[in-house]
Amino acid sequence: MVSLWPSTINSLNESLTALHGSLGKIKAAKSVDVGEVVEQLKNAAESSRNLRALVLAELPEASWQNREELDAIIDEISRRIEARNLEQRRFRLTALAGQLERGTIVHRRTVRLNQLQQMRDQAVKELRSQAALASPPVLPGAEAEEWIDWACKLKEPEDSDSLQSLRNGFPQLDEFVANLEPDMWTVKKEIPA
Amino acid sequence: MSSKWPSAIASLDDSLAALDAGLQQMEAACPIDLEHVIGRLREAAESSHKLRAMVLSEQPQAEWRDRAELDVLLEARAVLRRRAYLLALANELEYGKISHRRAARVAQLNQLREHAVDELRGLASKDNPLPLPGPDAMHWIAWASSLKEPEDSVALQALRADFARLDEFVAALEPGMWVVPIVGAPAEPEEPEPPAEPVPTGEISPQELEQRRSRLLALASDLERGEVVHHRAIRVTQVNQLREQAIQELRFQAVVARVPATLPGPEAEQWVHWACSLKEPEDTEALQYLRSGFEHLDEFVANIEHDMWVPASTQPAIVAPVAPPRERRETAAHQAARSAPASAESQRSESAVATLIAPEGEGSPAFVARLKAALSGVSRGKVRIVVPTAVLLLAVLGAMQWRLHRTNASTPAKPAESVAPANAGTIPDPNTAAPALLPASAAANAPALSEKAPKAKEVGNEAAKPSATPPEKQVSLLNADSLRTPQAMPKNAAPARDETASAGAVPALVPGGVPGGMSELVKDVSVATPKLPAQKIRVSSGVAQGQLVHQVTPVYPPSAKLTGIQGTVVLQAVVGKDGKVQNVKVVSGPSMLTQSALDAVKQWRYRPFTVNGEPAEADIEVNVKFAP
Repeated sequence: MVSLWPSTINSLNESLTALHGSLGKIKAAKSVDVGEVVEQLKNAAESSRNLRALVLAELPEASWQNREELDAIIDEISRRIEARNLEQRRFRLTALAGQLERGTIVHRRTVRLNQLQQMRDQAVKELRSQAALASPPVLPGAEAEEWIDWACKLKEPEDSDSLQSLRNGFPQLDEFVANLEPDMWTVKKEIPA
Repeated sequence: MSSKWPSAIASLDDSLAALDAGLQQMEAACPIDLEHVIGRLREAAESSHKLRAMVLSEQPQAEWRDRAELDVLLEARAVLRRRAYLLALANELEYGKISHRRAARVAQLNQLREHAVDELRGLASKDNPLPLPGPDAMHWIAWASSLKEPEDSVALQALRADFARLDEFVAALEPGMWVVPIVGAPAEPEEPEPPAEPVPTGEISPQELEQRRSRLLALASDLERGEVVHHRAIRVTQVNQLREQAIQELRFQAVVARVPATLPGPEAEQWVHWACSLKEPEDTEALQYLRSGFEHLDEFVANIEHDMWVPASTQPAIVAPVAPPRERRETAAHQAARSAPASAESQRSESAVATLIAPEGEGSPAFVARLKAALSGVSRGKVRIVVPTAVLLLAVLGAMQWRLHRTNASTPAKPAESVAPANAGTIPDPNTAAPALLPASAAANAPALSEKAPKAKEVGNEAAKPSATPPEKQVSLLNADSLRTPQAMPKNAAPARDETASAGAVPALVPGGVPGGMSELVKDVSVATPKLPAQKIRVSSGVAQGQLVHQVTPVYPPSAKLTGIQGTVVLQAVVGKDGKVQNVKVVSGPSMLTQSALDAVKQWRYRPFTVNGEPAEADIEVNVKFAP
């Protein structure tokens, strides 16, 4: 739904711009296709209705009289959405950190196991420190429970963008999953309370 | 069709404004009635289409890209229309005729009309002519003449601000005066030449003089108490100014002129009504007489219509025109008391006047009343009367002092104090009481008004004794706070001899009185008063037109005619005492036309202008119009 905001507002603005262009011609007593102008008007009205619906979905109690008041309300909604996005990012980081802590690494060689354990610890530590930031970076990939599987399947060059993003934002986590094979990772299922 | 342009533009803009309200709601994501907005959109599109069709029907080659360019196109057309409107109205004004019972008034209005026409054409020639309020040219005069204040203040203000001359013309014009001739109608006959001015001849008795003065003062008072009503404030102001000048003129004639002109017409109460009903050419003689003797009064009545004048109510006049001596004295005294101005300042000034002027004698309050009537303009703030009145007052005082001095020199000295005790407690003889309008001495000197001349002479004999009071005592008497009125005639009064008096003149009756009475006093005043600016007067063009006896038509220069140059040449000139035009100067007008106008006007002749019956030079303004 959040992605609808800019598009809806832009749609309204564009249809109004087109309509004003036609009205300028009418005002100047120039020739216009009235049917086309009516269509532009209907499009603008549709965009206007959509925007209204979005605003009321986000803030059901909102009321406004003109565009200035609407813009103020949209700003408020944008702030709320931004805060919510930050919280979601933080939640994903901490959730993944918990997931890594709960999982178990299996390997036939102890030294390799220790190395991986150490990497996991550093990845967990990195995730928690990033989650503590005011604006946590976006963690690419799936939700926490499927994240290890998703990350272990990343390949170059197909998934270069995701890998690059992971490498830049979370180097310790990237190193951990680069050393981990899918069959080396098992997670105990959480028993609901 | 052209006149629909503004309404089409207004309709389009209105539709767009209504549509814009819906669009703003839409832009704010507020609920709207979409069908309603679409309806507005269709209306706007329809108005737009009509406007486009109008523009292209008039100017098929017209092109424009946006509203700004369209506005330029429309403004250019509006300028053309405004210009055409002004020119059409100018033509309409020229085409119509002014109808009025008085030729002088017609001339005045014609002059105003010409100014208005010139103004309209001048404004029409500007790059961006101002919009003229009102309907089309044909109906404009009727519309403008019906404008009233305060109801139509906005239109009047717009008219006054941008079209001052036109406003002046329509303010002076009554609806019934404007006639638009029907095409093909026969031309109006030429107005006959007015007869020559009647010249008063023969000896005039003092009674006749007094009656003339009384009538003039009564009319002045009546004019002062009446009210001018008109739907335009500016016109009321104009006519009130004329009224004030007329009042001033009447009082000047009554108080100062040696031989006041005879006022034609009925008594004061009916006079304005009578004067308003005078017509030319039927009443040319009376009008000419009025014009020659009472120029301002004539101008005043020429400017008012019957319904513009509300005469004074039943309130009695300050000065009663004709009454028996006793009644007159009482009336004057009572009226003087009744009509005394409310302000303490004016009362003080009157008291001072009475103290300074009135000698101890009967009739002093009446004389004060008369002076008060003459000075009432001063007490009401009519500043223009103050200066001449003050000059006259000083002249009167000077003349009285001079008389006193001469009387003292020719009469044996006797203490002044002896007069008052001798008269104390006695009742005045009504037959010897002075007329209310004159000082005692003047009243006694008027044989027609005082039938008891011998008695008066006796009084004069007795009263002449105190007049021999030494000069120092005279001064103290004149400066006394309260003056004593003799209560009875001294029985053994000896006649005072004034060697300078004429044989038939009656000597002074009371100390400080003027031998010869008011007539003599006035005669002295006229001698003592410096020549008033009557030597050269300024005459309105309407009045001057009435005096024109020989007119040479100017030659329209062929070169100007060929090139279409036309207009009015305004000249200033002096009409000499012989009626010849002198010192002609060009004030304004097309240069190609001025010489011809000068050549013509220099040959014009006027009937000499007179002030107080004497020829006087007059400044005039002449408008010479050239039109193909």
